[in-house]
Amino acid sequence: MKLLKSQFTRTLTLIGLLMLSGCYISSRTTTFSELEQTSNQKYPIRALTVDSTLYTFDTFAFTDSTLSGKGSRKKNGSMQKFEGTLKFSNIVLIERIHSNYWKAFWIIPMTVAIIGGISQMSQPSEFNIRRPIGGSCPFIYSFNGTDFILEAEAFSTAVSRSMETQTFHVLPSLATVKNKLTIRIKNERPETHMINSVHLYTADSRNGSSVVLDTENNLWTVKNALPPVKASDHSGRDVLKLLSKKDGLYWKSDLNNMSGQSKYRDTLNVEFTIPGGKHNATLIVDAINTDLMTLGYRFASTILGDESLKFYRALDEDTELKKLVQEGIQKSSLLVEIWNGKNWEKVGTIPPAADVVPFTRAVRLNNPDHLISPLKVRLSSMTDVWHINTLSIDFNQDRPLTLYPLELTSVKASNHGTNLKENISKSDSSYVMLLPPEYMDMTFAATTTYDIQNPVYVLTVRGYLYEWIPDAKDITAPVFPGWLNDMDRVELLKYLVRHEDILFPQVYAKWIRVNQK
Amino acid sequence: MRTILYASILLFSIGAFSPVFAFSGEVGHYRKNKRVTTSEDTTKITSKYLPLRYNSGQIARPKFETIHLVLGLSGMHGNYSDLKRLGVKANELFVPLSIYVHVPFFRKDPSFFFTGGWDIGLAGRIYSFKGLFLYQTKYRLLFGFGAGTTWYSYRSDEIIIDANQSYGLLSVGINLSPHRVDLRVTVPMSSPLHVNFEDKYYKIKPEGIELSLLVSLLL
Repeated sequence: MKLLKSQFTRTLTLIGLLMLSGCYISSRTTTFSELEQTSNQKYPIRALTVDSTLYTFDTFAFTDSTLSGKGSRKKNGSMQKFEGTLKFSNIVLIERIHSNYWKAFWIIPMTVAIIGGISQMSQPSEFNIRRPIGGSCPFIYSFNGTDFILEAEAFSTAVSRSMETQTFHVLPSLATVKNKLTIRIKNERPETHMINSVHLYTADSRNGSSVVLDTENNLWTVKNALPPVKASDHSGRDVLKLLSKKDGLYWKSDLNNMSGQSKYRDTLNVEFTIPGGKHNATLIVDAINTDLMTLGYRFASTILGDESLKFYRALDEDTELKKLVQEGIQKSSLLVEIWNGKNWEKVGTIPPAADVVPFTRAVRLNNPDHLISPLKVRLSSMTDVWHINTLSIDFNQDRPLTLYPLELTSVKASNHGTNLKENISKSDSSYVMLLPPEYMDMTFAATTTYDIQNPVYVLTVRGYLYEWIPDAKDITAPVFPGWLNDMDRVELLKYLVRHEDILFPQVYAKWIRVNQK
Repeated sequence: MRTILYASILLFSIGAFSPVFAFSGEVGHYRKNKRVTTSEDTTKITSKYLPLRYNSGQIARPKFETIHLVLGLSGMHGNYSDLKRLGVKANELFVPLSIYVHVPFFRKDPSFFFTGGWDIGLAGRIYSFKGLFLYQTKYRLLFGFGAGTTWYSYRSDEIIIDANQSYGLLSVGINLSPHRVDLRVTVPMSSPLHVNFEDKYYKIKPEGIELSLLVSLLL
């Protein structure tokens, strides 16, 4: 670094000196007065004669018809000293030579810029697409007969072995090809993914209605979802238009109003009109999560430093630490409450599920006493974990759909030559490990003995992941009171998770900086 | 490999033809092997002008001093229809500021010159370096070839796209004012770059057809 700095200084000095000395330029001289001025200023001149000889006069004098002086003469590449007189009638061009600072001002940087540009041409071509931070979870792709379509993200909150979890996903793009269904699970993140088991189920959506999974992983048909009639957020903004239509426009947290009274919580208050005679309803949320959770993990890594592995070990063994992390996940989950006439009553919690693929989750409302119009619903979560596309309510009174298992026929991983079917067909101690950019393709038999007219598919994936320690260049050291620096890193992290007043301002300050970029 | 070839050709050509290296300090002739002929009746002495002989032989000097700075404004059409799925506009019109250096090999028309420099997108997102050898006919039409390299960058909440590519260039244009204003169209000759992202195939050509209005500052 020091060497670079000194070389840079030297280069700058050199450029500065060159600029000060200026660049030599020539100006055509056509009048006696210009020639006289040049003589007074003691600039050299050049004269080109009809026989293609170039004379350079260091000193000169002139009459009405002649030019005399001392200098050099150049013809056909050979140069000689010269002292003598030339007739103007034999000269076709006279130029005075002088230095020009302005030319030096641009010619040196432009020369550097052109040499730099030419050298850049030898660089290999590149084309990269990536997500801003990179979240956390394996990607699930469905084969639709032509392409693999990204559909969902699995076990995104299972950040250690002790937090292994099973997640359910509807796969709308999955199609039967030669009586087979193919699904790909791929690791495209700086993480280690451990897949324990994968199962595929089918169900009959009856009239071809769309389907949605609720927080209990029951599959419901959606017949006529209605938008809210009122919607506002904790900043007092009317957000009804944003939440009424599935148009890719998301409600996002007001980051200017996240501390103070809101205490780093987002709140949405919505109202739905309830038709008479309805005793059950499905509240449907279309959303996507932000990378804030990933940023949180990275922030934790900056605190842990080279003790990250110790932290993951502690997460498996230290029940207090595990509880703290689970509480953190709970706070970042979307809490759904309804107004029962006296107070807010919790009806469900949707955990963060995906920060790349938009997803749909539902909360089933089964309490007929509370389904009185207008139905007041409150959704809340940690600030800016959720971006919500639409909220709607469906009054389908049917029972949830029955899920039928499909047979797993083969599993091929990009990093493994053999069939890994046995490793993921049941939840046991046998895992398939995926490192980026590895993937595994699973094939299921599409034919079943069940009578299904309009098949829909639900995939379950059980596993966990380990976030990798970020590169040093991606780390900005957090600033905490000095006395905390002597603490054991894992204990320090536990302390900070318990003291949100210290932790949150720093995490959100970093989050705002990332968003501004 | 192709980019190295472009760069090598460009470097060699500049080295071979640049007056800085090839003619430094030496007199060159526009028609080097021809004897200069003059007309005696043009040597009339006046009180103001030097009684120089008329340069009927069109002696021209390829000289270091004739390099000048060129500024301009361009319009570049970018076709990014394959990235539309990621939220990128399918068709974009960029307005880069052009800063070039003009190195003439001859002062007179028809002339042959090198021009090279940078196009910097005013709204960011794209910038490129281009080097061209251009021939100007006596009717002031411009033809030429060269090479360039372009950097494209797209940032949003959801996606970051970076691409850079070197390519060959063809150029045609017209000199609107002698040694002063050029209008030029450059056409990149490149095949698209490909990448597989989230199991989908994407392609891009960072550079598009560019129309430039360039003004020589003659400094």
